[in-house]
Amino acid sequence: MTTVRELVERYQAKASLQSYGSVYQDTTEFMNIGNGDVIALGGRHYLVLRDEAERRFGMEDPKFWVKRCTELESGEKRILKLVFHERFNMKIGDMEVPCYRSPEKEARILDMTRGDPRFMQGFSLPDSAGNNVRVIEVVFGRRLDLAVDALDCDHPTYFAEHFPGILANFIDACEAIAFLHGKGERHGDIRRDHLFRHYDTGRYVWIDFDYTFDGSANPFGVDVFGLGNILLFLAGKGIHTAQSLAETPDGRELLAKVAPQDYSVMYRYRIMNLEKLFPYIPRALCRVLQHYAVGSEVYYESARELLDDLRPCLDGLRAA
Amino acid sequence: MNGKHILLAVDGSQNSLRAADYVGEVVRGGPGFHIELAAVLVPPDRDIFPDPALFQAERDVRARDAAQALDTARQSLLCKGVDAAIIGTRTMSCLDMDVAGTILAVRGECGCGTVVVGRRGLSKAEEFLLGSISSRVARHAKDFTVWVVG
Repeated sequence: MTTVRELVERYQAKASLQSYGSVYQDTTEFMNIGNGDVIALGGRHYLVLRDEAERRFGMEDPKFWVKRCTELESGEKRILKLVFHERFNMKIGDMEVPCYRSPEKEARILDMTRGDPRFMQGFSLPDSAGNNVRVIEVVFGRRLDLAVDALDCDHPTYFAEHFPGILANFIDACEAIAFLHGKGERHGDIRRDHLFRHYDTGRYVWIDFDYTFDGSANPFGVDVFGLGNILLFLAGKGIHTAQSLAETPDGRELLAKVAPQDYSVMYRYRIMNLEKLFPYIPRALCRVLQHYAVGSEVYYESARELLDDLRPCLDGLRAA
Repeated sequence: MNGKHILLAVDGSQNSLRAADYVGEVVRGGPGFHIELAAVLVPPDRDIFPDPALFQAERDVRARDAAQALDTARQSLLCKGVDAAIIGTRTMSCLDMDVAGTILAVRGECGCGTVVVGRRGLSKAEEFLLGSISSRVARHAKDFTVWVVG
């Protein structure tokens, strides 16, 4: 019978491990599990390489409950998300929304979306202490916002040549969220760094479904808000703010045309009315974005409503 | 649709009490009215209360709050001189995580021609993220009247 030590040696260069760690069947004390340790789960063994981290605002934010691993039986990279029942306030503009991290919710969505290429793939199973561990396949892709940032062209060229294809894929991604909503589920943390562009297929893939919040009056509001933010980024090839425009003479000239009602209802410095900055953006698309602006009287209540307005925009771009 | 059959949605907040007071002022002594007092029971989210004991405890608190909201609104109507015989009460479980949708569904069930809700006075940002029940009820109104009491 193959020992865990033999498995480790088969798939991991010895030099990369400082020492052989421990084998954990109970992941409750996830802070103690680190590089070189092995998590034994469902008859498989996962060699821990490191804790995952999110890079936001130039800072590394370690996620000690998320382990980058190698599955020793197959040699495949996996991400193991361990149980961490966290409660915190998500800050959106000036508002704070109480948020909860739910392993059960993420596990449910992984089951619901198995085989659907619009969502990260994985499964969950309990460890020896009954903790719901999610075993996630690493998405073979790049963060969408970084991919858009990397396009080396001016906005008119970007909008004419790249944006129609990007919008088509984004509509597909919105359909994925509408699918969740139709099943009574929320993504919960729609941000542009949670949407990846698959290297092979070019399709957009949602990741990280473990956030939830109490929202019975508007159950999908936070998701719909997140979709609008991503759309703004994609249409503008970046976020344009009063501060960023004020940095150049041309920008200051444009800024003079921006009215208070043109800014985001949540972030009062973000310009939602892109028509003022890029007059060639079709009015229909600008109107969609303006549903997220201070000047709007009616907000989208669901991804479906957003899609109903967004699809004709793509048709218009393709026809132009 | 009978406009004198009124569905008054309450949740124990000051806004819904104001709505109850207003309905009491309008209805008292008038002929042909019926007031259906309704409280929407929003169950706690299992994802937020993964511990079954905490879930049940929160569920019990919410059920008590709903019963209290109905009782307070009923007392308010009686204080205004509304005849007890024309007041009905019901607690309804929230459907599909949607309070406004549940109110509308109950209105259809009891055939009320008027729906009365209080208004929380949310900012635009709050309305966007948290949602406004009164706005949603008004937005989806068809073939009946909505009174929004601010």
